[in-house]
Amino acid sequence: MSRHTSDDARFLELLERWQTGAFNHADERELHALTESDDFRREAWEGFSALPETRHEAYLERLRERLRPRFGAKRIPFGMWMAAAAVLALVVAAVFFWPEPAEHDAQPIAQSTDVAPVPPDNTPAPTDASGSDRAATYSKANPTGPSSGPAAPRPRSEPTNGPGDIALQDDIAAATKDETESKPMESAPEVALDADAAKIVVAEESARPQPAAPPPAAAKKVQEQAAIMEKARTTGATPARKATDSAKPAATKPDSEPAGGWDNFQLYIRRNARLTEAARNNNISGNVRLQFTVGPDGKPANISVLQSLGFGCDEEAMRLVRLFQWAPAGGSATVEVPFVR
Amino acid sequence: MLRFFRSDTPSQQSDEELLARYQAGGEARYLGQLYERYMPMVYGVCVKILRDPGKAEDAVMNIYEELTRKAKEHQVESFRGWLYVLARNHCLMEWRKNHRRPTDYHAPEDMVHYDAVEAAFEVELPAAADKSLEKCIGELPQQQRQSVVMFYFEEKTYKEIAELIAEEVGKVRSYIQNGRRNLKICLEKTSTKLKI
Repeated sequence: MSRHTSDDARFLELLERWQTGAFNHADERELHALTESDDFRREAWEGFSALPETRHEAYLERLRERLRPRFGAKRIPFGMWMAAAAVLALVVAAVFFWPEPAEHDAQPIAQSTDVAPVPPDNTPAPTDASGSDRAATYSKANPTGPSSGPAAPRPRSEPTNGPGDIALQDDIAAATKDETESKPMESAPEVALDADAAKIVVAEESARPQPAAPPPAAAKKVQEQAAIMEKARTTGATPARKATDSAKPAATKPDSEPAGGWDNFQLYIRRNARLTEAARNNNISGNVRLQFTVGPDGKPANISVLQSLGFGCDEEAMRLVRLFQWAPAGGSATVEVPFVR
Repeated sequence: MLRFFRSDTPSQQSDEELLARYQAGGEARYLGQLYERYMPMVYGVCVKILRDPGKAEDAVMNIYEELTRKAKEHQVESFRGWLYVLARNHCLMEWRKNHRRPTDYHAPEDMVHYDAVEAAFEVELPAAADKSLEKCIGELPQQQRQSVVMFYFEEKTYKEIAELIAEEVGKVRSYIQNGRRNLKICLEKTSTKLKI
């Protein structure tokens, strides 16, 4: 027990310095050593370091303030705390509830234009240009909407973010769409498999007979392949390359698939691909395209960024892709990870 | 007399002593002192699981409430270990409450752990003579490169770096963490053998 007490004290001291910034390489090393020797410390550190930009010290300070009255019930007159809490509650309630009716009509519009959150699972992701169009027409139909609310204190839904912003987003969406559509033309071995909104591109590394296969035929081929793979899985055989060999000779490397299938992967990506804070602050959205080979352990290796978005999104995409098991080993795949508002 | 002094400076007492006092008299300040010792760590665990400092803050408050109820009846051998498990379970339950859909197959145990392994990944940077390392550092975005070099090679603190590049400390923490991750990715790509 005493072993923990001194280590914990040191850990907390280092953690405090990590927060204030008086923290160097030697401190980091010591901190890491302390986290490795104990699960409680390790998990606590993982929590802090997972959000490096958060001002944790502010939260901790507020927590101390919130907890203290409960601790020291003996010394501080209880009634005073109650009175203070009541006054505070009144003030908070007054601030929050007074402008409420005015806020009602302003809020939904602001949501649909600017802060439109991640789409629910069954709606297409907003990379789809038509989705943004809809948002644009909606906001145009209610041009006075955002400014009609006199007291809407939310900084995100400022009235200034009107149709202009949407137009910009449209441009971005259109640009990314153009790029993805033109890609198969210039690089023949890639086949766009437009599955719902999150487009996943399966790269065909093998040499094709004719280098410029038209996209519709190619897409059909992929569907055939998928059907064959499915059949192979149910019969327990290895992916039936032989069957496709007749149609498409010299298949050197097989394509790898995510464990649980593409649908599963897509769902996972849609649910987990979030814009980084930096990207959000810079009004960035779009796709990251990654290519990689699959190592013998089923983990992606040699990940390369075919289409970069920057602002930490590339790394985030890699991280997400790496979390998946891929099969078969030695294959390769290209994936597109959409980052949308 | 001695007893009087001791009871007034509870921070000197062991966890179990404080807990015993709380159980005997039900005075919140003993348990409070005890909880305050571990509060930042409880908060950290909650942030790890809930991924949101605001939710973590509420969880820390709720865990204290749960503690006041349970500490009275439970005979605890190691308060620290017990609190850790209690806090962890509380946050996991909280997380599940908000992620009840069956398709959410990525439980926080898996997801967060992996994140954290990467976040807490310790790079023992080898001597700067290594060519691929130099190349990889060169490929980092400018701010990450600056921060990484100053932190690892010039042994500067976050604060000093923050002042030098006119950024917030939080940003510097983020640059170094991301820079380290990018370095790792880059090194894995360029030389498969290099162990970092």
